[in-house]
Amino acid sequence: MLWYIGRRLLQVIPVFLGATLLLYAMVFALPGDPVAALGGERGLSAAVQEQIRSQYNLDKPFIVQYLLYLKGVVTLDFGMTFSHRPVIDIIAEAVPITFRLALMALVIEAIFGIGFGLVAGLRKGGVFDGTVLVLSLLVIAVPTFVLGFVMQFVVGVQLGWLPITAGRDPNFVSLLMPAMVLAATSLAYVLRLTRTSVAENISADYVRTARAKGLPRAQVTTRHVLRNSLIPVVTFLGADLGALMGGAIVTEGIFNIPGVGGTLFRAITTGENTLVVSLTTLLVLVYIVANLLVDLLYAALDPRIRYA
Amino acid sequence: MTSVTNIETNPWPERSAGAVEPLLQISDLRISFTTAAGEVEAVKGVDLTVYPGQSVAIVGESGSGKSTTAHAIIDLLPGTGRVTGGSIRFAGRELVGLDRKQVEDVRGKEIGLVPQDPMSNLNPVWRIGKQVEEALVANGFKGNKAQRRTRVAELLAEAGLPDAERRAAQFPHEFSGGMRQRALIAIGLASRPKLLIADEPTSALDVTVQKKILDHLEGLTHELGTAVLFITHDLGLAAERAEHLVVMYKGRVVESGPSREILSNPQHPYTRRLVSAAPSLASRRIQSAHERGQVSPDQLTAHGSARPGDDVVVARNLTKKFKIRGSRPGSHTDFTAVDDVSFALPRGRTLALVGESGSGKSTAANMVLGLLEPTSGTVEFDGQDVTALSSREQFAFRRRVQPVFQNPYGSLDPMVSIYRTLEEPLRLHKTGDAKEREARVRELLEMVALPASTMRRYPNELSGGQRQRIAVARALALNPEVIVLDEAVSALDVLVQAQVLTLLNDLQAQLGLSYLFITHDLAVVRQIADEVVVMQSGKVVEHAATDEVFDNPRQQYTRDLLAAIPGSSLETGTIAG
Repeated sequence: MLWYIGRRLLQVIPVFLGATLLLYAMVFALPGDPVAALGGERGLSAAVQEQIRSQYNLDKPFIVQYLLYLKGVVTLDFGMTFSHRPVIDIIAEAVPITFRLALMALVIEAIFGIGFGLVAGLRKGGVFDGTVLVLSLLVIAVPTFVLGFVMQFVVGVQLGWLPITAGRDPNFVSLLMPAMVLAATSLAYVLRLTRTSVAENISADYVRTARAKGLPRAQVTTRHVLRNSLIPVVTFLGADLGALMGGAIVTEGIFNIPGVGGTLFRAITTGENTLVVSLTTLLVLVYIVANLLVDLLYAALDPRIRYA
Repeated sequence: MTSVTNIETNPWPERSAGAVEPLLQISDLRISFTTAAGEVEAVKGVDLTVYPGQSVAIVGESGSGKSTTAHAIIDLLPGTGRVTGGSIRFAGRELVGLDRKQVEDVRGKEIGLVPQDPMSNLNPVWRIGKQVEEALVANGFKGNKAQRRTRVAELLAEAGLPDAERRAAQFPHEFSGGMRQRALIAIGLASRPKLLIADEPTSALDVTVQKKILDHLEGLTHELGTAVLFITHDLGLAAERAEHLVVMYKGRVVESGPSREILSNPQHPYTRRLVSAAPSLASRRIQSAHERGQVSPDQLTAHGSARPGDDVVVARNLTKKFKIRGSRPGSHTDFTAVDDVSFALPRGRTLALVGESGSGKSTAANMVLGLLEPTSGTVEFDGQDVTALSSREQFAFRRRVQPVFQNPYGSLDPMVSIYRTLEEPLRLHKTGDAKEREARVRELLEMVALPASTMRRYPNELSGGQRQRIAVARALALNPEVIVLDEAVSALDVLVQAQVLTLLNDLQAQLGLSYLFITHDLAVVRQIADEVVVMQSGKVVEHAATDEVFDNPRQQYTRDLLAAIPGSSLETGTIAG
């Protein structure tokens, strides 16, 4: 087990190097000159541009720039933005907000996805099952921004139950609606996965054995049907945490949340290469760690799986 | 042969009806399943009585409704199944129509169940002890954690599990099939039910393990005074283990009575066929395959099979080692699946490789087929080393050695019509034009006694027996010299099994085929094989002519295997075949 974790953690190194190199190369290849664009309409003098370029190492060859960046990362110095803010500060501001949002979304999709999926799976072919299936299909089909605007209008404006936007330093209540919107699509998938899994397990031989023991129905359902059905669902949820963090761009835009998504979007449009690469690399790392956790969780959920 | 259980010394004498109040009385039970095609009646008016402490067996082939009847007793019908008529009275109480809570009270506490497949009947994610404990707690066992744990260990030990306390903390995948079945028996008997339903409790296990477990179960239920309702497809096993037999066929009870009587004097035509086809019983009478197949001597010489020393397949010192991954990266241990095995298959004869699971018989067969490379040793086919063939020679070799596998449901591609299935090998080996190939497919179907119209059908439209005939026809397509039959009849019902064995035997006589017959079932061996190689843990323990092995087994292991054949201790007397 320790060997396995060690090996998986070692894999992070080549993935990190590959991801940063690839990202750096792609950002480098982007058209347009961010330094020239800094001056706006009037433009900057050639001397000032030169100075900024050398300050940010933009005058050096690509590979040197990349190595200098790596050196910075190792010493936890992610560099500065053009407006002289340390990149690490911006990350430290944006990441916790997005993380909170993603975590809330994850909890919502886990509770409702598994709950509805269980009931639908137990009553496969019934009215509840049919309704929930159609609704989940609808949620999957409708784009996130449509759902976001509809929720803002109905829940925020008409009913006035929840704040419409989050703004700076959002609290739990103001993040509730964005989290619901962010969770919606994944919730539909979790629901369908749980439903299929439950419907399959309910006719498993060991469930019949459990019933034949005289175990009450509630216990058969929780201990034997649900417990076993959760194995694929939990794996999905774990991998989804990474997707929720990186995929919050649209939701953060709609609800005006100063998270990773908005920051990344602005960094791309203004050509803040170090910020783009750093944030994206961070998301890559979140994916890797989330996947490792999923694999370890998998072994905890299913005793048949042992890593060596 | 040491006979442990004999019907003469059956510990439960047949009870006379009326003297005691019946424990379980099923009358005119009807069960239907709702399908797309409407209501299908699976059980059509079944009557059955079990007295306290009595053992009754329901015997029938798959689809006869035996399991459905048993599951209806404790309201565990699968899917859309429901009781549409009749009554099930248990200890003076009607079970049909009870609500959920009442049924849950009966389950486990009054009626226990030992299910069929030990591999799938334990929840893989819970420890064994926990699963036994559930059966205790659900039925009103009061006691603290330590008491529960002690009781669980007692129950597991009682079911014959050694080192029960430590074993209780393990997961099902750490148990062998036999150990799992013991755990399931512990669960079934945990709350001391008055009736135990044993649904094919050992059909997935090796014969020697089966015998041990059934002996143990018999002793245990006798000691506890538990009545047992056995469900089985094996008439020999039923007769040996139960005092009363109920034979079911297509949802009806066709015959019932004391085991001995049914065995020695079957009344219904179906029972008669069953008695004569049961390999465990029939093997006492059937001699070698040649006598049964009426192979004329000139036919044999025509294929050159009578010449001594003409061995079509010779395996010399075959060894196969597999690497098993260790706990640390890069570390591994060798597992020897086949250990220095030598045998020869004479042309036109049948050689049986017999052994229990894990004996290496299938690994040896795969090496003969050229599907696995031996670690050391050689396989010679017609004097040529199979392992040293070029890919072109191997292609030609495949044509002369063909396999038939165990599972007729898995070995035919469900998306491909029977015609395409049979024509494919011909096309691959560029045999004839389209017309000739079609003629050959017709001929093949005729050989395996299926109508020509079968070629337009798909595997899912055929029964298990028909599918296995198709698999045999496919193996015959290229006129092979050797057919490797890997548990080819193990998945079939007895009557179908008998038909396929007869077919194989006739084909051997007609075409001069040589069979390498891999099986765990010694009873089948007697009907088909000329020579037997008994394998245990990768090694050959006995190699002799079939009659020699049966009449005069030299090794203890072979004797154990023979003694474990269900019904081997029964004398059936004269049965009209």
